[in-house]
Amino acid sequence: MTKKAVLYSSALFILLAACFAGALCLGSAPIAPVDVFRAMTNGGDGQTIGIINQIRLPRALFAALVGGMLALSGALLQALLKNPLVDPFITGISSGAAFGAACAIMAGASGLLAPSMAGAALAMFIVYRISLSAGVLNLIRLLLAGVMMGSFFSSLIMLLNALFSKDLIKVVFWLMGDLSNINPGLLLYSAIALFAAIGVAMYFANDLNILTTGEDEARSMGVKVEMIKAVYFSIAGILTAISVALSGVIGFVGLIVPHVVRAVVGPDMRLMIPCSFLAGAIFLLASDTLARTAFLPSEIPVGVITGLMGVPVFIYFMMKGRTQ
Amino acid sequence: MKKTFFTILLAAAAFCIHAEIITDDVGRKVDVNTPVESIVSLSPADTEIIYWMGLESRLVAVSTNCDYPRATKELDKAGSFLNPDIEKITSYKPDVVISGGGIQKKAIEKLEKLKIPVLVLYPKDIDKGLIKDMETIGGLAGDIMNVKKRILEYRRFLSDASAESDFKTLKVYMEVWGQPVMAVGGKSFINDELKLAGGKNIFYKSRSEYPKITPEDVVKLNPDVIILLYKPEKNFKERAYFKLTKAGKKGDIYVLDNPDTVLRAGPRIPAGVKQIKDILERSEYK
Repeated sequence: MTKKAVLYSSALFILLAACFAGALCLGSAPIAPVDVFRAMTNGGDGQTIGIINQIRLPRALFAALVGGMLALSGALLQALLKNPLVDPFITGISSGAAFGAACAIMAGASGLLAPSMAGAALAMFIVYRISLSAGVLNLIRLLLAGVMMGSFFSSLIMLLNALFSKDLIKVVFWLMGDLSNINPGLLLYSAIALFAAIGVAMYFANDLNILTTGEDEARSMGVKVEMIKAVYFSIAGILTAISVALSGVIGFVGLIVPHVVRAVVGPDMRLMIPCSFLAGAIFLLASDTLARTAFLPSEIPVGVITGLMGVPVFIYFMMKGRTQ
Repeated sequence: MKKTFFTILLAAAAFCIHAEIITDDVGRKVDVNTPVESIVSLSPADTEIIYWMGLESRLVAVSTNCDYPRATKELDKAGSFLNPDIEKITSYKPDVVISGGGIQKKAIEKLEKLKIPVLVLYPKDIDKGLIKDMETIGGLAGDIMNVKKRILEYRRFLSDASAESDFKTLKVYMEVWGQPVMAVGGKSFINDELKLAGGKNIFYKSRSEYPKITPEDVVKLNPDVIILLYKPEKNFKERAYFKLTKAGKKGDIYVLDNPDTVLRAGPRIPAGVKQIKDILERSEYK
């Protein structure tokens, strides 16, 4: 286990570092790798230093953070709900966030972060409350409630569209997902939230492993089943809420990455948690670098790239699994 | 005697109303019986043009987004810009419907099936596009002299609002939306407005109207002035890709007071051009 963990983590770290180097060196302004390195140590001309340290670096860090959050959230939910088709957006949280953002856009509010976080929190609370039955979190109900709340909030967005259609197009753009203009001041808070989530998730990882074999079995082995379910739903929900509020809805990451990681490292959550985070970070970082450089001078929505890159990889792993 | 008189009158009326084939902004050839007596406008900019050309008495309904001039509030509403109400539009039996194009494609197709003529007016520049649309809308009433007069007046307003020819051209970045970052490109009529105001769009080479751009492009192209066409967040001047430009360093980042005058291809464009010109003059003398 330890040997495997070190091997996979090191390989993923090396890949992540390579993706970071690529993200910093590639962009619409041609900057040689030597100048990138110099700029990172505050050498060279002011414009290059600015582009590297204030534009490309924060964006790369956000891409990695959001990718890591979505993949981790997907991995936790898939394990918790024992359903490989679950992705973070099935919990209705993204629709709640979108509803918050839509209200803010229609009301002419300037910042979207707080309203989308509020919308996500509201959706999460409602889904959680609906799923509780006599103090027990019913996982099937959780899935249904998530899908239902997702539809409910989508309908509310459509209602807003019908009543005040002026700015709907901005909501649509926001929903497409975007990493181009995130406030760097939020980087630290997001990173703290993510690493705290990883810490808690790793602490209870073995309990989650046991829980995946069945609730009764877990209970008989002394696992505090209800607490574990609440903890992992909350972690997944909070990570999804933060990532959606930061960057809109970026699809496929939370569904595909945990699948691929599971196919390689196996179902043990002690490995799945760090590896999903790292693989998600790599996947979104690479996708975003492509999104902003492949069709210059225009940038394309990163969700297009995650779909185009992710689906073939997903199909490959599915086919491979079938032949095995 | 009476019978003969009415026959002559009917024949004269039939002679005056004639089917005209109008080519709209997307190249569709539309049969319209002119002069029209009833118009439904689904686009706020075209509603403004209808008022400017003096055809408001023929306007039977507008979209809920048509909010200028104030008198539009009293008019019937036939759905919104994004969701036109086909049933309601049909109930007016309008002689013509004016559409803003693209996004209303489904509604246009339905109206065509119901044999209601729809003109799609979506100008991409001022000289050939907007002025032609004014001629088209004005021409629907058949009063050519009025059309010429109003267009001449419009051109005069536009010229009065424009910058003097010796005005130093400043490099300008105009942002349409910040999440994702979208700019005014070279194929938008707003690019023309900026030119008239004495500015040079840093994205004039872009082939699309409102391209989604990467923030480092803004830094690379280093504008003298940045103009936002929407209400941004509180500390928008702190965005890294603003601060790294000449505009950001001098604090020449502005938000338009009345963006509709710039964003709507209609008769208020001279006011929009003046707004931009005032901003550019202010920043040049800083």
